[in-house]
Amino acid sequence: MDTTIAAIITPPGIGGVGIIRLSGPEALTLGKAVFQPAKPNFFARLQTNHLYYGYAINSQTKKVIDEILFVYMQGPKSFTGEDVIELHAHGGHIALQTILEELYALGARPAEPGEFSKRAFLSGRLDLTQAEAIIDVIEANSKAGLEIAVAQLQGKLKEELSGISRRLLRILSYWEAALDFPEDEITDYQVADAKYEITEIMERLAALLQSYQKGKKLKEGTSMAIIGKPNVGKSSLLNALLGENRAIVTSIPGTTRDTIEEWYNLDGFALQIIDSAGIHNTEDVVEKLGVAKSLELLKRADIVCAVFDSSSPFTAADQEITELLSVTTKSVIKVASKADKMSMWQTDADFLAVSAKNGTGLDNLLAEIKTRILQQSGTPANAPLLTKARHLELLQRAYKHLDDLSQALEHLPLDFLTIDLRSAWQAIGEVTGDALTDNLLDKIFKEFCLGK
Amino acid sequence: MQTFAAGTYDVIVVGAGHAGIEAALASARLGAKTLLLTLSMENIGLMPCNPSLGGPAKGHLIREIDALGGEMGIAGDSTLLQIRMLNTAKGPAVHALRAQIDKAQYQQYMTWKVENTDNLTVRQAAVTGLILNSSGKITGVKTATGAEVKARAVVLTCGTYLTSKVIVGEYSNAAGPNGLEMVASLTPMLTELGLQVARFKTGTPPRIDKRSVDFAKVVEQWGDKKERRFSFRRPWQARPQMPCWLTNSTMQTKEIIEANIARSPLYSGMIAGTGPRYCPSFEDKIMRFKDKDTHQIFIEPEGLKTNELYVQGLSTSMPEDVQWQMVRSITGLENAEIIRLGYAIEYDYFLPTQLDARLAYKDIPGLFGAGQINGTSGYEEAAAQGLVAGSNAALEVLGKEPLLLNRSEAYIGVLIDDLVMKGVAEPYRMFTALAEYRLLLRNDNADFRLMQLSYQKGMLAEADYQVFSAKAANVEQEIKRLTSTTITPTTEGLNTLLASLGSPIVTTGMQLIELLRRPEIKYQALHSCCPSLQELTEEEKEQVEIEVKYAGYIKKQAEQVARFTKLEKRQLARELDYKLVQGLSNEAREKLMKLRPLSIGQASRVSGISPADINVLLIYLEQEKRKQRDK
Repeated sequence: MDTTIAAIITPPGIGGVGIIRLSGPEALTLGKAVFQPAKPNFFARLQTNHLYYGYAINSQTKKVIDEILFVYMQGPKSFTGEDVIELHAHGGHIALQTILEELYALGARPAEPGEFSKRAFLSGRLDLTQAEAIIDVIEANSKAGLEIAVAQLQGKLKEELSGISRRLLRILSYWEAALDFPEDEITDYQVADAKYEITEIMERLAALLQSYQKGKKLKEGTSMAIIGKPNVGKSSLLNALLGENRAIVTSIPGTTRDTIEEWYNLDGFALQIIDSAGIHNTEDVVEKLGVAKSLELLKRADIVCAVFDSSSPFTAADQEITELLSVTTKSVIKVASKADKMSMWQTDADFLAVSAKNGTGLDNLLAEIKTRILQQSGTPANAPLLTKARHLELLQRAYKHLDDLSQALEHLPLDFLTIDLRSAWQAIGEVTGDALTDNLLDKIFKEFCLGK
Repeated sequence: MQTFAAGTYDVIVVGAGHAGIEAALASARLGAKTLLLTLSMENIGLMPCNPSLGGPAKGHLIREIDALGGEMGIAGDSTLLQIRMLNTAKGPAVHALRAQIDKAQYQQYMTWKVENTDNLTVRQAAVTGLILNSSGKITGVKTATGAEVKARAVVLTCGTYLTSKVIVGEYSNAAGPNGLEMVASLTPMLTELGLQVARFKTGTPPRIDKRSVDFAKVVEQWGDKKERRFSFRRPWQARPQMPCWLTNSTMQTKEIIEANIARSPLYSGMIAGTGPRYCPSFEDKIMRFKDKDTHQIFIEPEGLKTNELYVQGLSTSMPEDVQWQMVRSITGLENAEIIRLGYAIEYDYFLPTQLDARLAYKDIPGLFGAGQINGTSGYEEAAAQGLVAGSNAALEVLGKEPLLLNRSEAYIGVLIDDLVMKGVAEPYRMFTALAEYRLLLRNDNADFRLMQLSYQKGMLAEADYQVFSAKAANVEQEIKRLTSTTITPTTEGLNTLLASLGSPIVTTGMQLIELLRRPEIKYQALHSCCPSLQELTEEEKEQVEIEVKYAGYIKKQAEQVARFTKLEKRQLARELDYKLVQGLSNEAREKLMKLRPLSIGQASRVSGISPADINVLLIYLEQEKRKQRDK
């Protein structure tokens, strides 16, 4: 295996320690790059299978990310049979994620599901009976992965990348046609035009690459409070909303003992939901606490989802909450819950009517939340957004090739220019899943009247 | 009819076109007793279409054939009328030789060659059937006159002669190219053996009389003055030169097509086979590219001793009266006389996915196929396959390891891998765009890529190998010298030279090789102030220059190849039962059962095989390996 892979190997969720594993020929180099040992002479004295204390750092700025333990397991006597580094970090999901991104930026590739086990098996470290289990993982994940990939690529990102891919293909088809049909009448694609075009495409790619940073920021920071009186249906709404998407990332006790803050994966976006689900008091106390609590939550969240029970009368507490919302600068979504029942009051256009019971309006609410998340990051709702590390890696590669190409444009012959152009186009094709060579020939034959 | 036993051979090659010739010669060179059967001794090495060899990718193929001991390059050099290097300004990977060939001389050369090769017998006979033993292995062929010839392997190189049909307008005739005899009995026999057959079409332009051309109106094109040759193995030889002529079709030609399109067999539905997109008929060009009013037309000589000229670009199957009008609407051809009409030809080919990388049919032991019956087009593509199929037939009979070329070694490897793994949707032609590692598969280094291998396999003569070894040593030594020689500002004549070339002068010591990496510095220029120990040949200089100047890119591609090769080396057993491989997707299972790739790398290029399927296969291989070991 010639690539070095990295991933968080501890299960997501509650836990004091999280572990990142790196495996492959570059594991040690990459591991060292993000590790600042507490004791001097660490690198000289490094031994296999020993724990070293120190800090995970940003390799550029040297800023500390977390305090960690560092283990080096030299191949072939390691789990995967390759050189392995494990970083044991303490800072929870965000710290782990930050270290991982740093490793990706340095050249590690995100490990596919089951890939550590696969490597372990292929290098003879696991016994035969485990092969089936590994195949199951690969099989299950390739199916799920396919669905996720399709979902990820719907909409704007797919459109943007297909557009870029078409433009690259157009230039490539001119160049390749000129190389394979030197005596046919092929209009030259001028280097100056190509330069302009490539520069423009690079700008677009750069914007996409930056959108990943925004996406990352979202993952770290976006929070949504669900407020409302008790028993207006907050919990059932939450369950319906997250239903199958529900994947608790971490669960830590709230700052007051009455709230729960959990990370959810909402179609690829990490969303921290602050919920007052812990409140179970008598009716009249709750009425009061509900409002006070709502005020408290409202202050701490980026997005506020206010729930009103449309099947029971609009009370003074509801009125109080409404007034709070009218003066807040937060992003507010108002929900009229229990829409399956008879409405007891007139909702205006501000309210999204939702029924957790029969699903009415859930899609609207989901879409609205995603829009607000994007707004929080300063990304217009319809802008393409990069959210997967694998896509980031491929687009970075494409960008690098285009950069090399623009350096070469003026002083190397056509044949060399096609090398980087083709590689860039292929990297983007790997994201969109397009067939390559066949497309190129189709394009050439469609575009040019060939056949001397 | 009473049959009789007409001898026993190791290998029989059926058909003496470009594929058959190389197949028979390769088999004979390897020491197999070989029989070459042809429908007509007059048509050995016939070029029924264009009178030229080479061009981008095709020229590369000829060089590779030459490096593998084949004949096409030497035959081309011996019979050419002009030769040019194309794409000289577009980078070394796409430099391509193309020559105009005297067709009659070419045939004469090849006929003489096959008649005078050790271990090779040529005979005129129409093969009408195959003989199989009870276990389904091929054991010989039957001819139309009742002869039964035994063999341990048979190579089919029947070209466009299987159930073919020639079409001109409303006229059609069951015949091969030029109205030659075709064979109808082989296809049913092969389909009975389980082979899947399909139909392609191709076409050729009219030939005109040289005396009827107005040469004042066309542009003469001569070959390069430089001494160029296809073959690495024979010195350059002087040849009589002939020009080509460039002209163009006119608005009138377009109108003639438009007015008569209903009479075109392509548009009337008379022709059903798929034709090549890269070599469309003229009527196709007019109908598909309506904005284009005129098209280039090249007029090419068919030979020294003939007045026939080939009208390149005017391939057509229009009715005769329309062809006359078309020809005479072309600038300079206003009074041209047609000697032969253009025509379309439909023919049978067998789906090449039924072959393995040796070009052997997977389900019919002892049977090999090469050339147009595999769905390709072009003399060079045919010859390349012929060489591989003929070699492998002989190697099998001799009990030796097969000749397998991969995508990173040769265009031939790309060609065969595409054929057997992807199949064909139109007559397959080699393009440089099809090669992933184009920069490594250059026409200048085909000998470096392949001669070591072909020598080891016994396909290359000792003397040829010695010539190559000397060249390789010279190049290596010179690159070593460039690396170890340090030049300084005081090196005589150096800075004057650099200044004259517009290159920054040297202010401190540096390696000579670094200087050569500068784009503006040519090897030849350096030679004037820092000469090599011994004068290198032009080819050696070129090799040094390319290897040094483009080292960065070459290294990048070499790294890609290293990754690629890893997966190519993981072999998959031909008899592997994919039904037993747990975890494969149904689509992957079906395709792998059908295509039976020889390596993980090949499997990964099959459309519909996902990375997850490849992982499953890798795990399966490991499981099997351990089971073997534990036994």
